[in-house]
Amino acid sequence: MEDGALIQRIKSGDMDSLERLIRKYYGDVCAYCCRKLRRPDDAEDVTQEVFLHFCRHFESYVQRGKVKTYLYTIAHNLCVNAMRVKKPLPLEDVKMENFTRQSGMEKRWETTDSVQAALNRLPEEQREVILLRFYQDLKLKEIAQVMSSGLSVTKYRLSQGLKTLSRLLSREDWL
Amino acid sequence: MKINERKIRETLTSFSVPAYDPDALRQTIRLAKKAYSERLLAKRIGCWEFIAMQVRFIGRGVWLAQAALLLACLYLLEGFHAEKADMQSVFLLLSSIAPLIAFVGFPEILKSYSHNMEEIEACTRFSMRKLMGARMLILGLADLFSLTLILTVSAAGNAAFILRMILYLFVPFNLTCCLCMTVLEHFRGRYAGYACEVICVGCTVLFLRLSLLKKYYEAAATGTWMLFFCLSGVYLTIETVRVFRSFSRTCFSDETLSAKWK
Repeated sequence: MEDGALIQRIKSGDMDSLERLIRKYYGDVCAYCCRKLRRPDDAEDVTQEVFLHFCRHFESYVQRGKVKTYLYTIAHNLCVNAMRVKKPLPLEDVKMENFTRQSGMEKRWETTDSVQAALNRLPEEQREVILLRFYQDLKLKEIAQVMSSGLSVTKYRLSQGLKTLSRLLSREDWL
Repeated sequence: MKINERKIRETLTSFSVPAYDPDALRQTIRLAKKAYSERLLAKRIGCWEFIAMQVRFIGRGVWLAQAALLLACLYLLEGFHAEKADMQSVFLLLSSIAPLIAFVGFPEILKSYSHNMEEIEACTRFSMRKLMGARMLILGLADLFSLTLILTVSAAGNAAFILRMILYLFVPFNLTCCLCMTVLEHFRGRYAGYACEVICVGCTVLFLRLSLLKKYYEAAATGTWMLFFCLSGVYLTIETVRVFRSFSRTCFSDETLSAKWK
């Protein structure tokens, strides 16, 4: 079902549609929070808070863009708040087994390690643009919306981020 | 897409995140549903939105009775104008119709009491005071609209007597409302509505009788009716405020359970 139809149903008090919407976006929002906060437990808490915020302020929600973009905007703001309270874990403290449970291949472990290290070395805004562009598949316009910044600034941050990332990963011979 | 960007994208895919906990998803769904339901209850409502909502709860019969009364009065007034009847007939009609306009509204204000619903209404979303205040405001405005329309049509036939028309229309109406409000303040219960109806019918009969006696109507020229008009206006205002306040006095401490206005 289209998001627009789901929103209309939720507005009329259909709880099943609300559940469907949460199920549809929970995974994506949780993955985004997890990459941003680098703590899976905190990511789940923030994801929960994203959907609760969405429900509590549903009255003020006007569907102009995609629901997904709106959810990422809430997630972005809540993650920023969470990071103010609790600094993200340094890479060496992150238990890598959590992040590579699926593969188990040594090579992949190393890759993940390098990618994470490279991402962590990026300035926060550039890192954010890359996360939203490559992991969440958002368009530049949508990223600008989520980050409350201009389109040209977002393009600039992406190109700078890619350059830095490319340089960092080249050093590790991954590109 | 540039080669470099594609390579970066491929490399970035290796940074996977753990699968989310299905229990966390279930908990989120449960809490979100709860938050959504609570939002409906905690939703703040504007004063006019509340009044518009209450208009829908006024019985259809009240509007129909009010409209029928108004149309009948306008029809009779038109007949008087066409026949060029004397002004006493017009005054007679105005004086007798005014208490009937009040007669239509008062039982509706008291419907919570006449149906023994005051206990339920006092503990629901809006306080009894807000509810009764809204009903009084809506029906009062409807009455005022009817009276103004009747006065306009009457004055259109003979504008020379407009001041006397105002007096003959509003003094009976004000006096009837004063008596009903006094009853409302002191006796509130299942039979208060009936008491108001009896008062309205009594006032109609009284003013019907008075209007037949020419000397009482002549008193208007001496200013007695003007005095009545002012006194009844002041008393009605005071009594309306007292009745409005008394609703919270009789129904718990008020406001605690009710939704706040913006």
